[in-house]
Amino acid sequence: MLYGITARYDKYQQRFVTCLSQSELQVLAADWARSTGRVATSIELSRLADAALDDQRIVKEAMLQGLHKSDPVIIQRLLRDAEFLGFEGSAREKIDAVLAMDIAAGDEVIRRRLIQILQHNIANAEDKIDASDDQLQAIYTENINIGAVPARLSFEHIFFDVGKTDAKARAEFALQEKLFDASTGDVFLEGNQFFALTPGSLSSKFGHDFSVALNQKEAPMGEWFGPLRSAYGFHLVRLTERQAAYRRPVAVLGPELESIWQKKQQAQHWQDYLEDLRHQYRVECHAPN
Amino acid sequence: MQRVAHMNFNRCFSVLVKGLGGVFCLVLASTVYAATEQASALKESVFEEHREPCANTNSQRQVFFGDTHVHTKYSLDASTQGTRTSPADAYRFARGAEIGVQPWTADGKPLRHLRLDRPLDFAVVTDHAELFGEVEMCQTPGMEGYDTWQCKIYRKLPRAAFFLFNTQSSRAKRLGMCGDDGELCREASLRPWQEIQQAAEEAYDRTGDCEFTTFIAYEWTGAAANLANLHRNIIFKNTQVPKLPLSFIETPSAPLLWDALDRNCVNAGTGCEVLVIPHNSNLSDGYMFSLARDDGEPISAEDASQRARLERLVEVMQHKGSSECFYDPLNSADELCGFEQLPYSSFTDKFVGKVLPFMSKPAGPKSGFIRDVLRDGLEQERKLGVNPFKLGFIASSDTHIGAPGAVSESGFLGHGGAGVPVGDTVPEGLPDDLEFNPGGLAAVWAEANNRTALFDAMQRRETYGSSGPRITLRFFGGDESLPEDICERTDYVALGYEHGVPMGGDLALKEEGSSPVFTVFAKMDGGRSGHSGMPLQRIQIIKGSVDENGKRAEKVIDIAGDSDSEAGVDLNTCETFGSGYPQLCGRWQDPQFDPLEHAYYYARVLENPSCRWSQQICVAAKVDCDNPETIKPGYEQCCSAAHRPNIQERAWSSPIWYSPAVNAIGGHLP
Repeated sequence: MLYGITARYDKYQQRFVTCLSQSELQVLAADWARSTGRVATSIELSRLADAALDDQRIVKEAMLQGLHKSDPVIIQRLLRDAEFLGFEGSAREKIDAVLAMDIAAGDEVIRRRLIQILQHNIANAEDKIDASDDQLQAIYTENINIGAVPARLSFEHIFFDVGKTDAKARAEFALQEKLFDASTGDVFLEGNQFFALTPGSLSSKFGHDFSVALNQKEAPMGEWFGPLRSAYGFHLVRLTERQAAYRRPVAVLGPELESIWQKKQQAQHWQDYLEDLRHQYRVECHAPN
Repeated sequence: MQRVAHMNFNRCFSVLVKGLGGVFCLVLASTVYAATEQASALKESVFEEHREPCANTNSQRQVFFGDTHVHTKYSLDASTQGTRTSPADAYRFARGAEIGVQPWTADGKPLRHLRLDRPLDFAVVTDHAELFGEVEMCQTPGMEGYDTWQCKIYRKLPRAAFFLFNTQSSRAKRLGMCGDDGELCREASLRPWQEIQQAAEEAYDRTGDCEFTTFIAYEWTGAAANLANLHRNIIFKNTQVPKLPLSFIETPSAPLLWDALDRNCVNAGTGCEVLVIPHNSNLSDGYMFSLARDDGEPISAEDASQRARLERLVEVMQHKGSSECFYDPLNSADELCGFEQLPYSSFTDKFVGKVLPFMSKPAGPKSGFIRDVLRDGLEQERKLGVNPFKLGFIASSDTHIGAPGAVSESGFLGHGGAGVPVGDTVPEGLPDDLEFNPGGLAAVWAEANNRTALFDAMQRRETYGSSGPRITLRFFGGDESLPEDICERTDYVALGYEHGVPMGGDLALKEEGSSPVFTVFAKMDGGRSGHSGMPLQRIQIIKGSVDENGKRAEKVIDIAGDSDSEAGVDLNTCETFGSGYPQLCGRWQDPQFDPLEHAYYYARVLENPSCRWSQQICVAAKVDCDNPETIKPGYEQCCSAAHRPNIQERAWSSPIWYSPAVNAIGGHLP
């Protein structure tokens, strides 16, 4: 009982962060200016300082929880630090020596790793609750692009190169005379048959105007028509399949919607956890330097 | 038919994979690329991918565009710049979804958003294996960690400190980082590496639609003793991957990496297959493609074989510049090498240059540019019988904001990596360092959009790099049986495969004394919604050779288009003018061919000139360099001497090689 109280008191004693010194604030401001090309406003500087304090809390809390003792990346990093500083002994002794110097929290790699681990742990701390149907539906409604399947067209074409003479006339003649063999026309590098192209793919391969023309509803199915103008020349086209744009239903998208919902939940857990940490840690300020 | 011979064989077995979400059974698969190297013969375990066959399959192959170099929040040099994009987010972005981009509000909402105007066909998240970009971090003022004591030592004593640090770290690993029973590593694998695998699995379209492909991958972030860049992306063919990525910490040199990949992947008996893609040899100060082993001895034929087997592609261009060829304004015969060149030879020099410009070492002819490296490879083949640098080309972004494929010159937000961080607010002015660029795309010729077909295509180097536009590019090499009128034939592609080899292949001439024939066909990017594509200007073939006496030569030949084109761009408005070509095709026979020389040939396709990303921003900001009052803070670089306001976007095919030895034995695939 007494041990438990003592341990909690010890942790309480250790749960503090040090407010940023003037020189640290200056470094933050200088980094900001270097990154953004302008001076930080007082509000921005205040937020930078708050974020730095949050980082201090997270790193300290992670170390209080002993997360640095079992992570291979941190262990490896501590050993590297020890080797670099010339410490002798077993791996455990080297690690202890580095930890005793209290430089681990100043190692950016260890700091980043601790933050990452704590975030992971908090995200997975609570029993996973599956989203309800209503919650999935809400995600589906909020994210209108999820599950959107664009229209697709499959077709064959005969190409008439504008770099050669009378491209349009030759195309019209081929249509009139029903000369629907690819060799009637000119070479189109990507061939004469295309499968399930979206409007975007059509634009990439033929140009935007051609894509728009081919996606018009009145374009006939199964019959040769044209010539249609593209960025490359004229084309006689025969549509072989048209798949209308649609949106996959919620039932099909369940795992993806669930994943987005879970991610939101995890983000919320993390924010709540951070808020708790802010209350648990006192901020100690020393005389200005 | 002279196509590179390869055979496929399949075998199936099931593997239980325990993921975060539960246990699921995968039957993995792939056709196996039967490379003839010794190690490949050891591969017994072959996987069959459990997926629906692709409805859209073309035996003559189709081009798929992707990005094989993407960093997310799991790269420390990305997260310290505020990147919060997860691997899953990055894959969603590649498929057309919107992502949030920093700065973020206090409650975690992004102030900027980004969406691709055209989704990608494939993407590969390649976060730093070390989980931090230590070198970049220590050298990038403003990044968290810059002022740590380790970084201070790094900067003060780079050679000694870096060497000590990393050789000691490899010992540290042997002290048992995984614990006695490996439990620590298993636990760790549940975090980023596991999430990266899971994100790749979830985003991979295994339906018959074959809309989108992913690969499990990471970046090995190595550096030479002088901090020169040795970075390589490690891409796995299927879900059989090492338990943890082999990082620079465990394998502190490229040869150690290759050995470990052979041990833990290729020869592990699990069906693991891997591809290593070096990048930014322009920043390697010549170390990326060293001809010496770790012990200082020259590489052996065995070393060369291992390297050629694992390193089959190279990034010819990305966010941090082009690595194609060195450009010296006073001496370079090929003025088109003056494209997205960095003014320094390593990151050390970049940051030294910010403080002491005269101390910064500029790139030089020995910096590691690929055109010279390919010739080194020919030279080695002459000596060893094996070419260690048989590298096909791709390009990618190296985005550090988790935005694969965001490579348009328009609306560039900056990619962050080692440049100006996309910081806590939207900066006025240029969003990235002036010398950086939006990066490029990887183009792959494959039968269908799935892992097996794409990986096999990358293995046989039937790939090309684009500086951004989706230019379509075919390149075949053969002999005089390639018809003279091939450019006029609607069965161009079939003829190319029938009478020649595609990009990435080896020439096998049928008749002794005949001179090789090449054909290149390029089609301009058709554009995107509301934006027309840029017409092509010309096609070139670049030939590099080493003769039987070791004498090196290089030639750049225009084979189609108009080198005297008057097409251009008005730099005051960024409006383009003049005409170009929607499609271009050429057939060229090498008139100076010497059957005893070793040679490579690759194609380069150029668009008409356009405004570079930086100039587009400068024009939008109404900067007039003749009127100082218009040069607002953040836009000073618009008027600097180093600013290159226009560019010629381009695509580079993988080379086709000619070797006297190969032809003496009738052709084989290295």
